[in-house]
Amino acid sequence: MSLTASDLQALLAAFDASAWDEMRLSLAGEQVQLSKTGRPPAGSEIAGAGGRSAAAEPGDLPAPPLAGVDAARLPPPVEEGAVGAPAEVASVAAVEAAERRSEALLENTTGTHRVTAPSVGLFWRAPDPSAPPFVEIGQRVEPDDPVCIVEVMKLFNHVQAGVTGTVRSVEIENGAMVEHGQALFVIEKEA
Amino acid sequence: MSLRRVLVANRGEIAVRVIRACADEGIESVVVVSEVDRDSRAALVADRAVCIGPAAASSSYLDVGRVVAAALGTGCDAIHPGYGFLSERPELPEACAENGLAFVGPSADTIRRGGDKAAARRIAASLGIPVGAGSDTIDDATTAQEIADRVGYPVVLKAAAGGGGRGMVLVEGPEGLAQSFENASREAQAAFGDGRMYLERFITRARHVEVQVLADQHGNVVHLGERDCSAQRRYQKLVEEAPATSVPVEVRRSLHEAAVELARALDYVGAGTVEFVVDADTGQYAFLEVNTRVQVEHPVTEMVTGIDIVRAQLQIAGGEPLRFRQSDVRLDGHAVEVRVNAENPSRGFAPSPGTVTRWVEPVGGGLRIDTHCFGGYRIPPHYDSLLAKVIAHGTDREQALRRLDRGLRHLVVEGVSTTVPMLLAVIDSADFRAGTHHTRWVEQDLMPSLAADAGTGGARAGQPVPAAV
Repeated sequence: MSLTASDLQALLAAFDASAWDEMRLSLAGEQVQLSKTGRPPAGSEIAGAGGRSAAAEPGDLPAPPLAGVDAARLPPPVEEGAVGAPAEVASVAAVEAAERRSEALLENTTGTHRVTAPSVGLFWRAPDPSAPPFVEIGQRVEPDDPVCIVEVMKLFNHVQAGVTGTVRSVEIENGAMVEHGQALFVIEKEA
Repeated sequence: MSLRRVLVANRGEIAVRVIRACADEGIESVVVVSEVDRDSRAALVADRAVCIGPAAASSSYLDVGRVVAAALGTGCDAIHPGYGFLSERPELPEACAENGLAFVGPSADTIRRGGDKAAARRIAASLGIPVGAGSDTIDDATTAQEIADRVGYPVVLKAAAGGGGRGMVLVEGPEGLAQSFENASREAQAAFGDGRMYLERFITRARHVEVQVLADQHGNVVHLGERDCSAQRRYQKLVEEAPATSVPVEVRRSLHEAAVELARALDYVGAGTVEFVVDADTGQYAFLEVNTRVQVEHPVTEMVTGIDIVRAQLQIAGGEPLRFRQSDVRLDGHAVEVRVNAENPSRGFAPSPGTVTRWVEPVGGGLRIDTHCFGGYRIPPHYDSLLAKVIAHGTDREQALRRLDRGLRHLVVEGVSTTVPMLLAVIDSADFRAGTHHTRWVEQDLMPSLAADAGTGGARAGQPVPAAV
């Protein structure tokens, strides 16, 4: 048996709701380790993963194609932005910058490309409700291929794939609101 | 129907202020943010933040479509525009109406009629409100002479195509007028490709006085007294106070009546401000313009009336009648506000973006700080430079100013330059204390004297004093 992304989300939600500090789960050779203490769970094999994974919200889960990346290779969540800064500094910006850098790193190491929303708006997978989606999972795309529409008040922004590759996941439900910069698709780039 | 969830379509201190009012009203708040404002204080304190676009305001805070899409996508029932950005664009209330959203402000029609200076001037004149002695465009020196004789000297000649202080010539008496007109018209032709001029009586010592009004959807209009914003630099207000104690009470009463009358004529709904210029020497006043939104300086009125203007805006937008009548509005003491900007006064007030490495707000009776700053805050270079408003309230002007002086001296800002030294110089000057300042006083008198002091080593010890620009 193997864990799916939704299994992991359910586990995370259950752990979040629990009073436990740590959780380790072994299932048919797969291991899941969760911690709320900001440190890896006792006896953890994941060293130096930093505290953020512990506090992860379900929405923060890496997209499925990225889930296999060893978390130990991620940079620590706080980088130069916070070094030497006064104690009162709210390091949200530094954390977010680190997150963006780790996303870029992930893209480089995994050969994936995230298609992001050019604007706030409604996410539409098809040119109109009766038409088939622009792209399906597993479909091969060229950089100029349209992959979706982000609608802002009847203004239809066509979004293009941006790279040559294969669509690996659709991150947003059709018709949902997306924010500027939100990931819409993950595309596995061709070498 | 009272509001349930409001989209705050702004940033900075006013976004925080509106979110606070929503919390006080039991309304959920959603704030729109650009990419560089994701970690802003407004984003942290709102119930939800939605990133609507990149840093450039034209693709974020100024984009009606994105703002309305964010409101609809997050289930909001109203939009509060704050000040600046979309607050006086009739397209926003129009888009709200089309999409079943309430707009926290007046109708598109009111914004159009009140916001167009010429149109508002005509409405004011039709109500018998003085609009300033002057002329329509003048073609020749003879006509200019006739009009100047009628309105009285000194007069100012203004290029019809000029603006922001450009293309203006001051004429002290009849002897120089014809020649000045010819020169100015020729220069305007050369500079703007348009030689048309108009003429106004020049007010040597003008005071900027404005009246706060509140109007509900049921025809009730009240005023909350006036504010004096005469300490300005290049038409930017530096210090605002309420009430305008340097203006005679009868004049202030006339302004209140004129403002309420004008609001009624505009079918005004919400919070608005009617601005006037008052001649400090004669007490004559003239209508300037209407601001169809909440003002930066609204807190001084809140401090002396005890009325929360932003909460009132939300109640009005939710359809509630005003909770008080004119006779319930009473003034308590005096309040003064200063705008602390991230600017370097000794370098021509150049904006000073960067990281606020240390931010400590003063504490003390009668002090209020409206801000979006915190230690570690990165001021993006994309927007205006307002960091905080420091507001002091006291039983009288003296006490309010003492408290403000102390508050400003205890405000700790490190990492960026601020206008605090300049603001201290204003509120501690003899002219400002005596209330004899006017709208050109900062540039004409205060800044040259500060520069002279700095040159002779006369600056107060330990207190940096800005040089003149």
